[in-house]
Amino acid sequence: MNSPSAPLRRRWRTGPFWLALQLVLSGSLLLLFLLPIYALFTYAPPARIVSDAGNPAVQAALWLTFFASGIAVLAAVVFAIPLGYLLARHRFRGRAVVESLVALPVVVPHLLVGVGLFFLLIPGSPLYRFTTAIGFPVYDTIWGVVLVMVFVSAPYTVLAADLSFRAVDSRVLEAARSLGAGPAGAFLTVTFPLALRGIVAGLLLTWARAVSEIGGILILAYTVYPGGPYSGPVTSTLSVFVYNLFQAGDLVDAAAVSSVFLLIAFVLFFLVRLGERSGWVPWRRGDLLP
Amino acid sequence: MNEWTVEGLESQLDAFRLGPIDLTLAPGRVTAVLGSSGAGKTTLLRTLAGFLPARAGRIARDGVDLTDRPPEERSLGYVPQGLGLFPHRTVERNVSYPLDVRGRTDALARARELLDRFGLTPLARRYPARLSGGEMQRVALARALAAEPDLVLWDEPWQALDVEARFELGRVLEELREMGRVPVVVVTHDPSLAFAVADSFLVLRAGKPGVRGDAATLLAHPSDLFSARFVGYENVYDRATLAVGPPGSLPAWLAERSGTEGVAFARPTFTGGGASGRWEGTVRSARPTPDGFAITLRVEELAVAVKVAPSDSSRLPSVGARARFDIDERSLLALGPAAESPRKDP
Amino acid sequence: MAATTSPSTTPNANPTPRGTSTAVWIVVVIVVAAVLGGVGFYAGYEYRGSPAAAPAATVNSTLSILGAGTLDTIFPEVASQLVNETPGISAPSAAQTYEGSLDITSAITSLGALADVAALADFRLIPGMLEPKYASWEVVFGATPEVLAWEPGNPAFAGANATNWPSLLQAATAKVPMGIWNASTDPNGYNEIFSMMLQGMLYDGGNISAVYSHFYSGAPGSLATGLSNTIIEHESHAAALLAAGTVSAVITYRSYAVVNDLSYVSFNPIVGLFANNSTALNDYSKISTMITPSLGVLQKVVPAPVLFAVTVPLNAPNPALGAAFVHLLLSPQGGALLAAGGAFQPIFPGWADNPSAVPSVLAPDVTALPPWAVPLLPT
Repeated sequence: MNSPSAPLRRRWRTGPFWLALQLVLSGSLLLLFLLPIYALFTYAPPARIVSDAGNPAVQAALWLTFFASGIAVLAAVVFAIPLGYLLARHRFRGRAVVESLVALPVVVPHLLVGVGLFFLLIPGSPLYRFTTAIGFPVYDTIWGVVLVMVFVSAPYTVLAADLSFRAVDSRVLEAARSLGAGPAGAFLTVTFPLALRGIVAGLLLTWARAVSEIGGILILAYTVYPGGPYSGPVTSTLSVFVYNLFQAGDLVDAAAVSSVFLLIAFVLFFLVRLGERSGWVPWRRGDLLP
Repeated sequence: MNEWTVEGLESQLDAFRLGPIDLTLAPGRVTAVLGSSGAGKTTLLRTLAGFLPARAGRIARDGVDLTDRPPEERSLGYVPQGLGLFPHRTVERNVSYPLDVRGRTDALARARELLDRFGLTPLARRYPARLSGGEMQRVALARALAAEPDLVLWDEPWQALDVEARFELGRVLEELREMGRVPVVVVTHDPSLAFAVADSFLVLRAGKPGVRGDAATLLAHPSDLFSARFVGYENVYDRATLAVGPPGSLPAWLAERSGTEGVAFARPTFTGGGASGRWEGTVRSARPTPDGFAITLRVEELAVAVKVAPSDSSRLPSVGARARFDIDERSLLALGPAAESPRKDP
Repeated sequence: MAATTSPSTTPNANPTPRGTSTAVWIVVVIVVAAVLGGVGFYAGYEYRGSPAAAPAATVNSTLSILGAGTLDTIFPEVASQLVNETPGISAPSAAQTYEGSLDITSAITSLGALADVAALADFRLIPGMLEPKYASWEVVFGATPEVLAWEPGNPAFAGANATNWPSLLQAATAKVPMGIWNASTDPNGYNEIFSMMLQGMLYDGGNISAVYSHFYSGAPGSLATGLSNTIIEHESHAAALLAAGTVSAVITYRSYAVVNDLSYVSFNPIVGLFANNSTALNDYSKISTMITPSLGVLQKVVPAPVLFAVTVPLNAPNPALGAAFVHLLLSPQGGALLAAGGAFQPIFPGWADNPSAVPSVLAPDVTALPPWAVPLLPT
């Protein structure tokens, strides 16, 4: 296949070169991902990571962040999945406009998201009066955090749901209909279970995006006061919290708190992967032993 | 009684128009829908199932008009191309699905009965991804029958199956017929399946109905190019190909005897390199086959296929040699609409 | 059909025409990326070497400033005056950052920030946090009192004066909260706490909780947490929030109110942390509060007159340029800019804590810190 006397040109085109190239390129990217995280973990001594994990201010920030992002994911389930379904299954005029609109939040710089929402909710504006009247004040509350999070992260669920629903074989759906299932029944028993895996992946991405948001939250909910479902102490989301630490020059604490957060996030991701592998999507397993 | 009548059924998919189609489907009878690719066979099935709305005409079961009913209300057993098995449900839950959606509490028990009948019990807890082609077909059929439908529609049953699996499936179809309760419509382009199981045939050509009737009718009067090839004619020429011959040549001779679509003939007699035999051509290929030698001759622009019995081995020509043959005028078949058989099914 | 995935990473041992076009594409992408990167680099390089860099001028001729937030209008004016007077230098706004004073000190000490001029809102910070490692002297250049400020035209504060402002503020914040600063990152955060305590001390019979407890929880002297009628804002957002009506009022420096065109009411000089006579100093010594300069650390802070101070850090990139700026700041022109609109009361000559350590160009501009101020410096 590759004799020593083969012309240089042919040697260059063979397998080992491409494999090496792939490894170099992929390896560089992996390094880019891993090295800063490694730096975060090693900048603070483990003792500090542990003690900061026990600090009530840190715990408040962590709790607020996970709680708010959980609400944001719920909002994505309720609002974003139907939109994804609509885009996947129906052809309608103006569909391209809707699809572009859905992708827009991803492109908007995050600070501008906060500024935009801020303008929208200036005291005296109709939306401000509405939100305060129904008991959902937005500025510096958990609702403000959730609002920003949903804005920047729900599009991922829409896109994932769109793709997943699209990928459901329409012949399987037709089979279900021909076997006696009405449109709603076919959706519940066939379309949704088959799209579930992709939707869950989208929700995971949504959660990750929500949890890491800072730009819009800086403007709209720099400090979060207790109110609505959140009854803890006055605090900020974790990214703002770490940003404040950094600004104050507390580098070791910034690294330590970031490490605590990363550890928790990693564990959560891992659990979800385990769950996928072990029980949620049984048909990937193949044979079910009796 | 479960007798279905289809009258003047028409439907449209993008630019393709199907119909008007008339059919009578009796319980226990298998109707084979034939045609070349794109003729509208699957479209017909989908229209019968209700996935394609009928633009005109009527579908009725025992006089009850079902034309405007959605698929789930037609009591169908539909096996589509690709089978549409639910990848997220086990085999037994696939089969129990029609009963589950009807709220039957004995769904699983009944499904297991069916699995037993089809010899699928050892596979009950498997997922479709782990089944062979033949097993999947049987599961799909079992599922279609689970809720005791009033009509079975089956699109390309033998696609991608090996000989053994086909045999199995043929047996299953036989059983269906013997049960005698439900009409079956089978779409296929496989002649051996069609002749093995079908009681009546419908040939579709570009959406329009062509030859119809039982096997004897089809064999005696295949009236279009597809049917002619389907029933076994090896030399089938469409009219346009025949236009190129000078007078007195084979194409011209055939053209005089051709119908509006073309002409076919069977079993030309090979006379070899000698002087007898009306027609002469150049040998393009000569191959041994289980039942003799298959020779292709080139005459003008036409290719003529000839079979030679094994005992005539001494007369086998080499490629490029000139050879002569005869055509029995009685075996000539003019192909075209005028040659269609009577409409009524037996 | 059983679903299988084909491995996508097996190298193609037999070169095919498809392998060639893939290679061509890769080369094309790399070349295009290199060209774009090269163009971008060249453009950026050219832009950096803009006309302001005259070849014969000093090596580094860009002035960089780290200043307290309230200086963000005045200092750029001083800087552009310096640019007009001095050939071959520039003072782009990108090289000037104005933020909370405690953020500035931590930027310098922990984050390696470099600046030619560092100006803070509390004269105790430079000796306390920057000397001796990052600075060796400071010059106090201006005083400004705390005031209550609001968006012009707000009817809630019509007729406000030094006595009635607490009740007006209470009424207004019942509907729209006031903005407060984070005491752990910005001196104004603790200064406004002190103003409230002093107002209660002087106008409510010595009760330092009288005004304070309406807006903060936590006993006076311990960690103060804003109540629900307050909003902690990021230090740079106050003006925007006032303009939008998200906050009704703020307690801040008069300089801030002036440069942001806010309406304000002046406090009693002691309440406003402006007076420095013995009565005032005595009153200041009676109150304190706690801040958390870093996670889990509590630090006590006591009031002092609001005095802004400036230094040229020891690691400044252009010390001479920094000194030239301070020299201009301490001159009549600088003073006029500081005093415009009543923002600051300029202090001439400036008060230096180590007069002998200041650059020679500044020697005529400074004098020693007055005796009453010396005990206030951290030891």
